[in-house]
Amino acid sequence: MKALLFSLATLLLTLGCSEKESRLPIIGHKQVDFKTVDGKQVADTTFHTIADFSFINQDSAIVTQETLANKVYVSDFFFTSCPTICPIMSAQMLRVYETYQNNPNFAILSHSIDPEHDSVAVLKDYAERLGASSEKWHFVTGNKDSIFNIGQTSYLVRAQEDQFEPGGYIHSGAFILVDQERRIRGLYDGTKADEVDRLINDIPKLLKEYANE
Amino acid sequence: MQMSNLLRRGFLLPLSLIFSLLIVFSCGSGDGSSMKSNIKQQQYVNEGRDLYAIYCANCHGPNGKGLAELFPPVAQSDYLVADINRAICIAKNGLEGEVVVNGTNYDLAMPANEKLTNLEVAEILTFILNEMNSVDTLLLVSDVEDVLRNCED
Repeated sequence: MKALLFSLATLLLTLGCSEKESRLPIIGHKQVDFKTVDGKQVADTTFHTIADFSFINQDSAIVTQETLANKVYVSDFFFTSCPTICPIMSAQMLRVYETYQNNPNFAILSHSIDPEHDSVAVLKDYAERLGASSEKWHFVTGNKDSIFNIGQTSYLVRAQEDQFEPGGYIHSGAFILVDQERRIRGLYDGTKADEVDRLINDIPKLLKEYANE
Repeated sequence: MQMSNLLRRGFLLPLSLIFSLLIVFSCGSGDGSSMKSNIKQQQYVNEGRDLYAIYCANCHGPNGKGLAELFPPVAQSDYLVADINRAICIAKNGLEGEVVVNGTNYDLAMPANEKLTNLEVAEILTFILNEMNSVDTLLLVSDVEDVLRNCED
């Protein structure tokens, strides 16, 4: 019995380690269809991906999936007048930005969930004061429903209006890591330094997947 | 045994007398009140540290250094130290419009903290002044009351 337990534990450890070293997980619902190719049954997996979008950034430029093509990016949801967790998120995202600002295959996409207040001019001022280049870090605004909707259905985070919440919105402090195929590869609490350390460590793993191609 | 007990008593009595005298003297020499206020000041600093973490640190940072050009520093802050009454008003009522702190311009609105009691404002500012600006001072609730009654706007 002991020997069995031991070998089980060893197996688990080995599996755990090898998985950690290889690839980041693909997050979200996946659908597996079987099809027949050359008389053989082949599994065809469809992964959860980020839907198409069209928002406007701090330079009044339109940002779409095309803008982020061939890039690994981190996404989050915030608003400039947020009195609660957003300042911490901005401080933490700034660490991510400073680490990878010179990597051409990396970008950041911060969505405002208060587009009525956060005009292009307001976002421009916020980005400049934070010291963020618009080439690398897009602060986007747009149709409010579209932003809430893409947050909830694509990025799998919570974002909605709530009059009882300080600032008027309830939203997740998550940082979402997305790969070049629009798939979510990591979710991190953007208000916690150790979680953001984990994100900073994971980004090169994802970049490496595409460097080999 | 009895002898040693007696000896000890004979020895302890004058010692305790000297101690009592020392305490009486030290209190009588005027240090008593400042000692009391030092303890109170330390209590305010301690309470203020906890309140700072809840109400201020999100924007102004755990060390009071602020964030880039978005949120101004409250540590080593020329603007704060230059007018402590103004700082009391801002802590409670928030701030709109541009300010220049340590030579940098800041323009993001700060929300009011209406829930803060006068005691909490006194504790937070006492903490910020003592621990983050090397200003050795104790703000009293009565000070804060007076100042808040006369804030601009």
